[in-house]
Amino acid sequence: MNILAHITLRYLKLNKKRTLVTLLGIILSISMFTSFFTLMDSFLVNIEKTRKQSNFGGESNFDFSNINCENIEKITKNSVVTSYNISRNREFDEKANKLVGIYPDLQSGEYSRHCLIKASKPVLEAAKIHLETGDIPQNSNEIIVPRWFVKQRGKSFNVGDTVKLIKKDESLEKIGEVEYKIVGILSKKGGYIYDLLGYLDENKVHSSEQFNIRICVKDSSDDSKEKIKKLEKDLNQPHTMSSNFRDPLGDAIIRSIIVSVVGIILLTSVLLIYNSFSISVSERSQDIGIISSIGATNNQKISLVLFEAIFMSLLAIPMGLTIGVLGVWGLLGTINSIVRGYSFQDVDLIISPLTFLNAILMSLFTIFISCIMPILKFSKFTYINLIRQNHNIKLSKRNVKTSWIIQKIFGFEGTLALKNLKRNKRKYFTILVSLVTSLFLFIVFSGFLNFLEKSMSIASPDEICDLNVTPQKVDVATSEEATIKDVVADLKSLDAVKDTFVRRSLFLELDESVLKESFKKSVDRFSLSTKHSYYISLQCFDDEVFEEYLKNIGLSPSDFNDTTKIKGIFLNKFREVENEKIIEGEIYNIGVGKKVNAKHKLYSDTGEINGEASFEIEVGCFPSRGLFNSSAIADKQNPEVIVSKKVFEKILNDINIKGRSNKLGGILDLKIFATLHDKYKTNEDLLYEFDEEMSQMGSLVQHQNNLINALKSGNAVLISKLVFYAFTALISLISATNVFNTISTSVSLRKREFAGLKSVGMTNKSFNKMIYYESFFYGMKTLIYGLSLSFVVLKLIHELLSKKFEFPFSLDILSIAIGISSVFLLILLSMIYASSKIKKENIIDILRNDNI
Amino acid sequence: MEILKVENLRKTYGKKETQTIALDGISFSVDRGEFVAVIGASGSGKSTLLYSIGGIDKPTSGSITVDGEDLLSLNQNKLAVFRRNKMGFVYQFYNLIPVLTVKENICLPILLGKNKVDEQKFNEIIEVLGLEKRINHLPNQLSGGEQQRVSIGRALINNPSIILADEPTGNLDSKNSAQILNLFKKCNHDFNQTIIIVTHDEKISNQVGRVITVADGKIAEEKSN
Repeated sequence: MNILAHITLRYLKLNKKRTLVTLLGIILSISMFTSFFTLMDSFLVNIEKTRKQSNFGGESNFDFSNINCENIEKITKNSVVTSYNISRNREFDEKANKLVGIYPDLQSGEYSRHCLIKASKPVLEAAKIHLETGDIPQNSNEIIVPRWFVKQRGKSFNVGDTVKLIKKDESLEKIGEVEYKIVGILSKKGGYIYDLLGYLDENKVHSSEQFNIRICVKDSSDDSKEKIKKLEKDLNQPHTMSSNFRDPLGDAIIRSIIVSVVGIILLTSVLLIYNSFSISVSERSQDIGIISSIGATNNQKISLVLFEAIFMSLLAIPMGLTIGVLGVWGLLGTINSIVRGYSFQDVDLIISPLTFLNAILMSLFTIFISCIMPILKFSKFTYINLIRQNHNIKLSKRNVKTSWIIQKIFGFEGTLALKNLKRNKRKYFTILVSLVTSLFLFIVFSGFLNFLEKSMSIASPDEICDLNVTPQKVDVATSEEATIKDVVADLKSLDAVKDTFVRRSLFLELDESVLKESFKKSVDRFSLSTKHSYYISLQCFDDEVFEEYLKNIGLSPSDFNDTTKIKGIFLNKFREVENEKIIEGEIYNIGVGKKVNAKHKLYSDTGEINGEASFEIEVGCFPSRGLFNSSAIADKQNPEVIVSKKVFEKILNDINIKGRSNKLGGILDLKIFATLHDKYKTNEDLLYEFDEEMSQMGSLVQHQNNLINALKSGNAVLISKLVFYAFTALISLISATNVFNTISTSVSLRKREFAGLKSVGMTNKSFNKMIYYESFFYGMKTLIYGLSLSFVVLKLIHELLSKKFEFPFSLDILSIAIGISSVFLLILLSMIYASSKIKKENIIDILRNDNI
Repeated sequence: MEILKVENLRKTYGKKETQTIALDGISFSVDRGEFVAVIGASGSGKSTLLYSIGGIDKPTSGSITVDGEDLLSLNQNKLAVFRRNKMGFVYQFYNLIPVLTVKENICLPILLGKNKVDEQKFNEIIEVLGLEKRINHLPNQLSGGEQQRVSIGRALINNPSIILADEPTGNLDSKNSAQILNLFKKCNHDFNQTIIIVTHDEKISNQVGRVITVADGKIAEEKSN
């Protein structure tokens, strides 16, 4: 072996601790690069996959509903369309000579709101990933079915079975039967698909059929948007259109996150590796001087350090790559186990050679720079300076100048401590940057997650309950109580359900003079006619629920139970999206205690308007929280006014609603709510079973599981937390290694000096004081830079998020406190560790031990 | 035959008010096989002179010719190779590589040149140095005198044209000092080795062939014993 390699290896062996710390640093950096690139790849591939499934390869998509047959080509042949798919809920039946829907044949008398949807191949291909068994339909008599269908009460179906479905006309009268072969069953992951899916032959469509068409547009340019607008105008038939444009703001945020993350990893890695090599080279500078003086060439000097770098890289790169991949594997496993079962798909671990190459190149680049820089620095000194070790004591008085205030406050030990920090700018800088980076990351990430949670709650406001159920086709007047009892009993029989309660609401026309202009404008924007009335939804809940609510917002029930007057709780906040930003506003321009006028049209038995009933409702309170501590955000179309059950019944009585049966249609609304056990711990299977059972109650209810939505946004925050905290932990580990390495060497390099101080009478107490002050000064500087930088960046993030969601800027005090204490703890521990080693040594030994 | 020629050598540190003149126009020459001592008070410039001659410190102006080669005209790499082959250094604090054994330290200049160690020559040297039983020891396992002998071995291994020694006995007791001086004398006598030694030690300066006294960066006196 080459003598230089030999020297390096012996040196590494001799300084085992430093070799290990350097190795650890390089391993951490490489694993950071690897995990970052792998994570990014895995997420990007997954996002792309999901987007391809929903957008069929296009950039953005548009949904057109109820499109007539003759308009299909107008849409699908448009120049901006890259791909499309077509589906239809009802088809033309030659025999009956009319449009029919095809429904599952459930128990006699029951009706399913889920039907057979026939769709073109792209839709089926997209559903394919959700198949538990079987394949997608290849011809028009084959279907795939959701899981709830497989295990119906008393029946069980498998792939290959033939199933009898029923044809119903528009008035839901059964007009015939039809048989289909089940070729596939959807898995739990497709749990949100409740309909049956069949094959649509695009060549066999009938002119009276209507279709739902999803088109994908190649880009999000203004030109494409214009063309879509024109297409919409040209359709010349009633239809609905919804769009899903790729969000450029989201892309920009992702890009800037990637750039900042790579930047931070690079910075901390370069710092750590540079610092390690620099310390190593620095400690060997005398040897380098000696070797040079006896004839080592420049290349030989460089190869001395380069060998170390190559040797360390060979050890560290495979380990770093392995740890990085294992880390991401664990992280993705955790994420997948959290989100499995909901509409999130599993994020697969993507390991590409390019990722490895990227990580290796980035690391090699970092290592190369880190080892070359110190040796180039040393080439500036003459060999004799290196041999005599006086190259790093070129200090001017200005470098180590300290203020008299320091002397006054901290005494001689404090002054000495500060001078110690100032004398070696590079080490000082390294420690400071490492500490500031960690503190900054921790505070910014915690703050960001805090903002994210707030944004999520704005984007999807919390529902008052986990689940709500709307009984269908209920004759409000005659069978109301009976139906409610049935549904409540059904719900309560389910394991997952903890409690149920009923909400009734009545829509009343409101005197618009009490409404704020801004609110009216916001409502008008969604109104079809220019002149229209404004409505409120007068609601009542079960007595216990209402009393509990009053207690929570600090009001007394007696006031609200008085039937001689109507006193209600008015939700006064509304939200709307303006210029892609969600803003909050107030609804009423009157104060608490004032009265509003509302009226309700009266109908005759034949359904004609027959006068009207007027009410005066007193504003009892504008609550800050809604029912069950939900956000007190009103439904913009029908702001809620909550009254007691007694008062509500009195009003119903006044407008003589009895005997009017379901002709009152949309006027009286009934919903049954349920809360579930262990809201956020609910087993995914249980949740799915629950959805299945609810789907089977199709004849009675239409249900909405709010829990899944809540879990979805909760999960997004949780995933972000996992990723960000894992990242912060790694960066902090790198920084901690760096700080520990730097502080311990800087202390041990000064041991002769410490021995000198002790030899002239510095006591252990003074020595400790000096060490504590040094830690204190490092900590304070870190706080000054770290906190102000974090504050500025958080403010910027808040500004950025404010473009979409409006919420007040606030700091997460707990995480700041944790960050600050960790900084001080780390410095102090490193200092105490380093100085304890010195304390154990004999002064004279240290002073004598000059060489070797 | 002239092996070293120093002409008008100047070396200054710092600028303007803080400028210090270490060497102020020194000129002298040394013949092959000469044993020269450079003496002078602390800060007189004697060590700077020695390191400039050795090419490990850069003079501000002047010329140094060693074995016919103008040192200041050589680039760094050529200078390194020249030093490796033509010069040997002995320092006050030995300056051995702590992680290498005695043998490796002695053979370092040869190993740096990727040449094969001449075992016969090596054995001859360690015999003269009295290090036969120490060749596999690390420097920290040796006494001060032994370490200095290793550094002399390192200086001798390549048959240099010239050996430059900076206070080689400055860190040793009188017994070890005497041994080291005898070694130098033996090298000078047996191998006709040219030696320039910087010293405070009068015992040494009395036993060498020529003494150059440096004061304030200039040659104050030159005398032959």
